[in-house]
Amino acid sequence: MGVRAAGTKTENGAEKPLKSRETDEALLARIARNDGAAVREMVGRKLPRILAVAVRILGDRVEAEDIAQETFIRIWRQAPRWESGRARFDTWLYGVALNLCRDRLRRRREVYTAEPPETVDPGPPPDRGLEDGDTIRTVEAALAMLPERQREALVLQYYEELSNTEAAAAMGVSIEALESLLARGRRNLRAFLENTDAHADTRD
Amino acid sequence: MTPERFSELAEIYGAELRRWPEDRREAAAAYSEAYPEEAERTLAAARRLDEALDGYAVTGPGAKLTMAIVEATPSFRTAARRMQLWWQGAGFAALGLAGALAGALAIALLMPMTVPPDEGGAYAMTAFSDMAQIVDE
Repeated sequence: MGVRAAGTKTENGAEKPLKSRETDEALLARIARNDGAAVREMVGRKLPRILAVAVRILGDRVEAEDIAQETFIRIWRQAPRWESGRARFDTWLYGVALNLCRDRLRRRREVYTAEPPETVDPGPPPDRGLEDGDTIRTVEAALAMLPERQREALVLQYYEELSNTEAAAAMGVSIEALESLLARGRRNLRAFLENTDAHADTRD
Repeated sequence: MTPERFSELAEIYGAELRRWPEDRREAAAAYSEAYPEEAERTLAAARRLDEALDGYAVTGPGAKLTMAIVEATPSFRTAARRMQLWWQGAGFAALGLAGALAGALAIALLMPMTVPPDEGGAYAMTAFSDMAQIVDE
């Protein structure tokens, strides 16, 4: 990672090595004792995941980086108060990131637009991502068209590979509700992408 | 597992059984073995969407973001504060030393470099001034 913070030193001055794959809870306990090596390990483990979740939900890299920073501030605050066995750390962490993303989207709506449609408009998608045929932009546009909860469900279950129990817990919904969101989300995405393909075919 | 349930689960969780609920995987694998063509037909549609989703990769975090996050930790802030205090202390010490040197220089410049002959000659300002008096006597 190339970033160093104050670490735990042993008697001969060497930094204390991390045990191979310590649990998140053990890392939190060390972070609570101002252990720099544990901080770096936690950032290495969780930052790529949290950033990816925020990018896919918000569709904006800069805002996603803000969310990642804010999520980690919550981790540092939570570390001394974390009670082992009470909740799974990842579930709590994804929940925090999701809530921050929801706040950001709410603010966006308040400032720029009215409520988004509940269902995907099957009409011609926006030109963005279509002209260059870039898969990333096309899928990004498709995800952005989904209602917020459907997008969250897909990001957690598909991209983060959380189990249905974990994804439902992070979103604060039942497993049945999660499955319904996933089914509708995938259906809407397929409709959007098929429409995009058809649109692209007619342009060719 | 019924074909309807298999299809339903593929609609929800995609084509990869590892993403399906753990307690359904065994039954789903058994269904796929028993009815490979039907299972494959069902999974093919889900797989197309999975492949499209797989195309959306997100670039990992850069060093600047990583640094900003690490710098926000209490341990880093404590270390940075300690370092700041050390430098402040060193600064005050350097300032004090500079003041002392300036004072010494000022005294050296203001004090007379020679002693008038009527006040004991060359020994007057030294520890040997008494000796000079003895010699004179």
